[in-house]
Amino acid sequence: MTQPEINIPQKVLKYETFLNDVLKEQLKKIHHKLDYLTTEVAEYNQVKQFIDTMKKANLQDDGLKTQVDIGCSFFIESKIEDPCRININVGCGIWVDLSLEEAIFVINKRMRYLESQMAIYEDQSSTTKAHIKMVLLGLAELQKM
Amino acid sequence: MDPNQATFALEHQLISGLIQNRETTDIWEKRKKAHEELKGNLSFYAQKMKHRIFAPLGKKAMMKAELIHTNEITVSLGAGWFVKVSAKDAMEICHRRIAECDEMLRKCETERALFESRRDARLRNEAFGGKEIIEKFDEKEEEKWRDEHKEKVKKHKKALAEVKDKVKQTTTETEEDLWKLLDMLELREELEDEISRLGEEEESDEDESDESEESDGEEYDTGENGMDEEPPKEKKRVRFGLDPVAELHEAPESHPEEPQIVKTTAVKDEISETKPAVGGNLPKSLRPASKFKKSRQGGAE
Repeated sequence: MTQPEINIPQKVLKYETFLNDVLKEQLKKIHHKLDYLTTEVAEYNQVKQFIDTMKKANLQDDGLKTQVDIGCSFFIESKIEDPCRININVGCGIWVDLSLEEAIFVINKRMRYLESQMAIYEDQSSTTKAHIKMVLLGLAELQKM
Repeated sequence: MDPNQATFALEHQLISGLIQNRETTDIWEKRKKAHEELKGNLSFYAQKMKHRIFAPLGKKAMMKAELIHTNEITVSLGAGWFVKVSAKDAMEICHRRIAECDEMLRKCETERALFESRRDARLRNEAFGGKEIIEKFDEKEEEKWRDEHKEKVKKHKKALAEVKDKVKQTTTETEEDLWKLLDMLELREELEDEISRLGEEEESDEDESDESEESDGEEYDTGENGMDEEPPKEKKRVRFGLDPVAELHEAPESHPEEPQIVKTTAVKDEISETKPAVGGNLPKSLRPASKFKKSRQGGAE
């Protein structure tokens, strides 16, 4: 009974450093990764929607005219040569030339992978949050003693 | 507001201003760079009728395409407005935007210089290393001190009067009596000296109140101790007036009290003349403190 009383300020300090330097940093890192994954998924989603529209429009023969941004919102008109082929970034900076169906398949696969990763990070995030809560409770108990 | 806090707030403002300035500068620099690059690209695209490119569809997909109508450029003016211009005009627009960026960068630079000079000037011109000199003035404390001081002066005068009485009553028959008398004379002289010194301080108003308070503490609060310490100093000084070491020791402390030392020397000279004639006992006269104490206690009784 006497020992914890002697060590209380030291213990409180230890708990606080652990809370701020370890747990909160960890949480920050996890959230950073989650953010990155969310944007990634959103980008793939956008491409998927584009492909869907392309399929519905059914532009097989005479190509597709579009405006390409050449920087600072200056656009030049361009003509897509083959609306049936699309290059997809499959990660690690590798681009693959695919047909629209293949592209959708690849994108779905990629999105599933990203979502599984997101689930892992979300799990980690809630674990870390629980740890933080526990440390806070421990701190409150220590300071009450 | 606490003055220290005020300086801190000012410093904080200056630094946050500098940080913001840096951010704005970065934005304009980026914009300028982008437009310069674009200007180069525009002249490059205008060279040929068609360019085979990969048209980006978001960040994750591209499609093979080719740029057509390379001399027709749609420029976004903001707020959803676009204008179709030739490559040459587009370059003009780019040029104007770069000039605008330059102007903004120049302004940012001026602002930065202003902030920095203001911050540096504060550090450079601070005569006391950025510290404010604060002297607290509490009316109640001052009043209390004055009352205490009055009381102490009264006490002191009383003690002096007692000693004077004693001196008058004492008869010098034996050598012992003579020593006692001499001690009492010294004590009297000390007390007188103090009074005159205090008088001076009181005249010289509040600015020396600190100093007098200090000496007050030594001489009055500690009572006997104060008497123990002070007299030997003075005596040494007078008796061995030629002693350079004593002079040196005294010099810094007694500087403001110079006048009354001169005043009192007349009495002290008498003592220094009589002393060797009677006892000639130098070690004894060197350490008069304890005797002093005794004689004073005797006087008090």
